[in-house]
Order: sequence, then structure tokens, then C-alpha cells
Amino acid sequence: MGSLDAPIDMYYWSDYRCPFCRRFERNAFPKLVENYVHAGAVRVIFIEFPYLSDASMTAAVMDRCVWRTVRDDTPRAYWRWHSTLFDVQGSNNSGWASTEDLLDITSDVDGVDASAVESCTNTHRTEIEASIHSEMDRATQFGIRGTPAFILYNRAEDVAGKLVGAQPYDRFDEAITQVQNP
Amino acid sequence: MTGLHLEGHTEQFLAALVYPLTSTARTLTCGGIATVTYTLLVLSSFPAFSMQMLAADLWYLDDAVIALTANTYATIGPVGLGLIVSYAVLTGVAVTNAVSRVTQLGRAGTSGLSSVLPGLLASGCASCGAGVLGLLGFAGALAALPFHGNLLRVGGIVLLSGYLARTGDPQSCAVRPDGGER
Repeated sequence: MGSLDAPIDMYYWSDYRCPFCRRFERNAFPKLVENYVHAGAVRVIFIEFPYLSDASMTAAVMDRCVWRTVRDDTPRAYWRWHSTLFDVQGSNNSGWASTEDLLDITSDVDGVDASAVESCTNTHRTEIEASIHSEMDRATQFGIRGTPAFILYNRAEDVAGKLVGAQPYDRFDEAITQVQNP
Repeated sequence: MTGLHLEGHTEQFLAALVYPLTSTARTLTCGGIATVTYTLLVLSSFPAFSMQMLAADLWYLDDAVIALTANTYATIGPVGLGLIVSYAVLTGVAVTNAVSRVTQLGRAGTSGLSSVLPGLLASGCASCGAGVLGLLGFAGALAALPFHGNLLRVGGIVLLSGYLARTGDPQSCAVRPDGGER
């Protein structure tokens, strides 16, 4: 999300079943998008870290499939799907993140073809899971142990900072300022 | 265990629970210790987040406690949160009673203190162990534990309850049915 030329990368590791991620999505994230992403200062790279349960991986695989089906024509639909999933996040034992429920949710998101997503998950699940596992291994090497987690990276200055958890917007504001002006 | 023993332990346990309510100072001490215990337990559920927030500014303490209380509730539900609150209250009672015993009996009462410490440490570890596991790098430990760690929390509460049932009201010396003193 954001301009490819934005000087700061914000790598954002998340799990769709993580309530703390939902808190971030509802509180700090909208302000960050408004004040930094829309202004062209930060671009957000969303990375799956489905560590909580098997259903987390199901949601992560579907995330990738949604992106594959919308990236060429309606990339904005991906973020609508992403936000919708956090909006409808259910409790641990509700089973809300089963494949059937996720496809139901997907069919209600404007611009996303649920049948194409279903076909993608059926065909490519193993390959996508392997890719996600390898990204999780890499995240672990960066010290990521829970979600949400963030690394802010100023590419020009080669300066980075890490934030963990659903911290208030002010903390992100401070961290971005520090990375911008090392 | 005979019915007589069980009845005796229940009476002792209730006497121990009531003791902190017998003066304003004891009630405040118990409440303070319970609050500190609850705060530590909740903060330990996401140690990296807690440390970053508090290192940035101690005034973030309330933000961190509120955020992690909401996260704990969403993750382990009302039962899990209730177990943490129960553990904190029992810790407040146990420490208040142990301090009273030491104050009243002087050096002779230190046996009460020495007996409570191992129990507190063991049950504290049982209660917040998931967070510590996360700190050590076992991501998803809470989700992977049986009943999301509630069994561990119950274990901690049982240990503390056992301690209180054994020690009873710190102002009284109960006489065992066999004529010995406890």
C-alpha cells in the first residue's frame, strides 16, 4: 500500500486471527494511512505471520489468492478484503476462519471474485503455504515472535526501527520521525 | 482425605481469605498487591510490547494494561481473564497474610514467608508462563498450550489455594485433631 517511491518502508507482520492486530487495524493504522501513506512518506508491505492456529494459515493462503485475483485489475479490492476480515474477526472458538466462512465473507467484498479465490486456494494451497512458511522463518530471523510487528526502514539512509504490538499512533509517529531523521 | 480434614482445610482457606478484610490497612495492602500482580501478569502476556511501551514512557502503563486486558479477553475469553484476576487476588491475600504472620511472630514467623515464596513463584510461573515462553522465542505459545494456558492458570490458583488452606488466619494457631499444632 502506498507510493513505490515512498522513502520509508513499513513491513507489517500480521495474523488474521490475532485480536491485537485487529486493535492496530482499528486504531493506529487508519491514521498512519491518512497521515503518512497518502502523503507519500511511507509504503506498507503486509506480510503474513499465521502462527496462532491452522485457521490462521487458511486465512493467510486466502489472502494470497485474493491478491492474485485482484492485483491486475482492482488492487484496491485487496485492502477492502483485508479490512473486512479484521472487521468480522470472531472469537477463538467460533470457527469464523474456516474455508467456508472465509469464502462467504469474500463473496460479500466488492471487487473480489469468490469463486476465483476458491479455485486458487484449491489449486495452489500447498505452494502458497510453503512460501508463507519460508517468510515466517525469515521473520523469525528478524526477531519477530508475535503479531502485530513492524519494521520501519529508511532505504536511503539504511536505518531501521522495530515496533511490536498494537501501540498507539503517537508511538508510530515518533518511530517514523526517528527513522526519517536519523 | 477425610471429611474432617476437608472441612478443616475449607475453614482455614475461608479464614485466610477473610483476614485481609479485618482492617483498612490490610485491605489496602491486599488490594495493592493484587493490582500489581494483575498488572505484571497482563504485561507478561506480550513482554516485548510491554517493554517497548514502558521504555518509551512510563505514562504508557495504563495504555499497555488496557490494551493487553482487551487482548487477553479476546484471546482466552472471560474464563481466562477471570482466572488471572483470581490469581492476582489470591496473591494479594497470601502476601498480606504472610507479612502479618512475620510481623506478629518476628523471626519465628519467617517460616510462613519462606513457605509462601516457593508457592508464589511456582504459581506465578504457571500463571504467566505463556508470556515468558513468548519472550523466550516460542511464538504462539499461548495458542498452543492446552485451553490457551487456562490449565496452567488453574494450576497456579490451586497451588495458592493450597497454601492458604494450610496456613489459614495468620493470627490464630490452629490445633490439629491429633493434638499437634499447625
